[in-house]
Amino acid sequence: MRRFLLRRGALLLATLFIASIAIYAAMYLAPGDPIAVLTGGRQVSPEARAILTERYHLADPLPVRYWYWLTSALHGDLGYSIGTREDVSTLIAQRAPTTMLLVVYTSLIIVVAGIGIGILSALKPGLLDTAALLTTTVLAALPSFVAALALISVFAVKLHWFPALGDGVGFADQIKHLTLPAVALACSSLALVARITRTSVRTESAREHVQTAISRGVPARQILRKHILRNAAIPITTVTGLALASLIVLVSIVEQAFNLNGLGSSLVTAAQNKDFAVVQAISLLMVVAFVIVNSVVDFLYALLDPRVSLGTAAV
Amino acid sequence: MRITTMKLVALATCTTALLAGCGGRPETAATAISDSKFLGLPSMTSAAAGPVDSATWALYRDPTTIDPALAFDYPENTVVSTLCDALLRQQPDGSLTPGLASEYHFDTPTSLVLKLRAGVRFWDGQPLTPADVVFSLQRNLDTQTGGFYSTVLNRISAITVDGPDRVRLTLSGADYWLPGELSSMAGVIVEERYARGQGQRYGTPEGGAMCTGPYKLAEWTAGKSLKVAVNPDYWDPSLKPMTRQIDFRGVSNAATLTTALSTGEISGTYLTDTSTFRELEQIKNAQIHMGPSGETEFLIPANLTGVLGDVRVRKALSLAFDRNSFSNAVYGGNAVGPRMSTNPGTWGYAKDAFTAAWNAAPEPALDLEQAKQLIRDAGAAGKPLVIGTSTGLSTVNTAANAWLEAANAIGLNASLRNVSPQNYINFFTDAQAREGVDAFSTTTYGDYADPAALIASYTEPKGAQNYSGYDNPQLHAALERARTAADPEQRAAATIEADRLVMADLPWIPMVHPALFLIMDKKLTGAPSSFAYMQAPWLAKLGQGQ
Repeated sequence: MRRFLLRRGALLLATLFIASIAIYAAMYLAPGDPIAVLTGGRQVSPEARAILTERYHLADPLPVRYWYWLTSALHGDLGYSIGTREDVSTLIAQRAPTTMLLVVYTSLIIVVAGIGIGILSALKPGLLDTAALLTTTVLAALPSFVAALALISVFAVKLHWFPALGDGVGFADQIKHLTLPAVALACSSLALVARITRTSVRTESAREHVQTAISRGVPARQILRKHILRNAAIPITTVTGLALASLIVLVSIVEQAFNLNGLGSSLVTAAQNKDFAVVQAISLLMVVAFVIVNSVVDFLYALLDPRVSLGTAAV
Repeated sequence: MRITTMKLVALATCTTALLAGCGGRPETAATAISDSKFLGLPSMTSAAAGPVDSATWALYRDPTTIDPALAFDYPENTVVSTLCDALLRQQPDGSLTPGLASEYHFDTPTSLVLKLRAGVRFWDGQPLTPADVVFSLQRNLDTQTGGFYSTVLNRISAITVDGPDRVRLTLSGADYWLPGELSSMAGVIVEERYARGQGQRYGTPEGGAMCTGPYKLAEWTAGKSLKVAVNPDYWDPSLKPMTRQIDFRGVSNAATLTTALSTGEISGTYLTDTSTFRELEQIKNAQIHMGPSGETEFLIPANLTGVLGDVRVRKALSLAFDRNSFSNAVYGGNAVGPRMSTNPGTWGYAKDAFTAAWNAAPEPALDLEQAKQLIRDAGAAGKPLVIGTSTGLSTVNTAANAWLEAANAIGLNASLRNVSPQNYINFFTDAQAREGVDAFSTTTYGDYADPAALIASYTEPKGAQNYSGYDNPQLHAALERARTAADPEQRAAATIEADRLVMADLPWIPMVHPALFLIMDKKLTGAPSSFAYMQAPWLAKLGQGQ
């Protein structure tokens, strides 16, 4: 276990280092001028331009600027956002809770509804299964921004059950505000998880040892838990892990559609403004989240299947 | 003056837009608004009947600063105007009245004396002093501030305290545009002690602000909302706020805004993106109010060395541009063709003279035959014309395609150069980005109600928006006469002359003058339906509907 954690830690640091260089260089090479954002597209005097350039270290070559960023970051200073005129750490601290809550809420919907529908669908052939198949086919093909549209038009505009924008104040209000975004974000992943669960459970149900257990009169509940789900869990975990990891990236689209004050929408705005410090910090945060989710999935493999051992095959 | 509106639309522009019809341009021809109706649009909505607890006011994006020295675009101006007072006040009809300066007069053409109003206090209870005025103006002049208003105040050579309640501005030359500037962001007064204490953090979420306005800053979470609450000790009883708290919220996506207005989550906004105009008209619980605006849409020649260097080509293009279709497509028909180069909403003085000049000028005609003849005369047939555009900016892109059609119809070889929304702004700031592009379009406005404010910004050799290096001595002389004329009628006459020279020489080609669009929940009324919301605290009049 310790070895697993050490390896994963080292891997995370290496990934972060490489990603930080790649992202910084990409931002540097991308066209655009942060001064344009500062001046609102107005011609400014050469003196004013020089002051802004110096204030934000815009004239230095790439390695110098990167080194400047890296040393500050290692000292806990993530820099200053040109676009919002606040410290990047403040910016992240204000926006991270919304994004985290949205991701957790969406993950719960994906796991509970996706796996639930998958199991029901696998065990109850007939009308229920057909209905689930049809629904998940539609959902799987539904991009989150289209889902957002449909949800807003029905539940916010027509029925007035949920708000159409903003992230709310206080837990209950936040949940109310985040329900439509979470459902929009969950749709396609939920369908994918449900389909994989259905297939895995079906496959496992047909296996010889399950049939034997049934013929021996082992209670159905026990068969489901011990023989079917246990073995079906590996592919389900894989696809759920992938779905959850991708949420971290997909969240920006939904945040924008619902005007949420989260990390994803900030990342998009910052990238448009060539706001280096913000792009760098949020991207790296996403890398960290991605690596952690994947590590958790690998850890679960080992729990679920004794043949997989931590620190070797999984890494 | 100047200012280029960059409505940077987020990447996910079309997310919720399908709901409202993404790029949902009205296709059927709307009825074009008549000139006489356009000139008579009201500058206020009906007065509020009573107070309301709170309102949520949308801005097209989150404000990035509430420092008046750095405020240059709709979101910042709307918020700063609600919080702060300027030395002079722009009335909804564009006229100038005393503001924090209860009296102002020119001793001599080069000396403006401002008498400060007695009994004015900042939110923290500190009285307004001449030192605060000197500090605020000096701050605008100081390049270290990184601000935008040093050029418009460039004739101020000294700012001195002239008694316990007086400030004297000594000028290097006569400047009767200065009172107008002092009624806009350049004339907003902040508290010296507070601003010095905050340094560069002044106007940020962390540093806050300290002004004298009818509202004070209550809470600002960047990216989420900026809340302002009533200032109970406000000096002007006529602007006592009717709405106790206003939450400003940035909503970048036009379709999200449309949805939020229909669910009542947004109480009102001044529209900067009209791409969902049709859908907004359909909202049952909100109403669109139209009024006088300061905006005009232009095609801007990027340089005068290419095909647009010939005035005959510029004229031909102007004759070939289908203004009616453009107005229908973008503004539901609520824009007029430019008989003069500047929106009638900018006539803050000498209205009769400007109205007469407008009526005497011909309505811009669509005349392809004459345009083709001009192109042949100029020997420009088949010459390339590259128009800069961005498909991510809906109005810009509609304009670019309309110009493309016009140019090709008269024999030019026109093409588009598409860049990302965030790179479109570089056409305005970076001479390198303009290379290889002949023209691009924008919506722009002046800071106070005088046509000269905008004309000077793109025709004066040092104008902030003069991208092509345009220089016309005759036009410069006319503007100089306007700037140095104490008498408003004389100033108007010189300004009209300058405008006629613009229309004859077309350094920029005006497309249309749109109306101002205020959309507000039907439960509310009282907000100004005029561009003065950008410079003075008129939003304080917002309150309960009848």
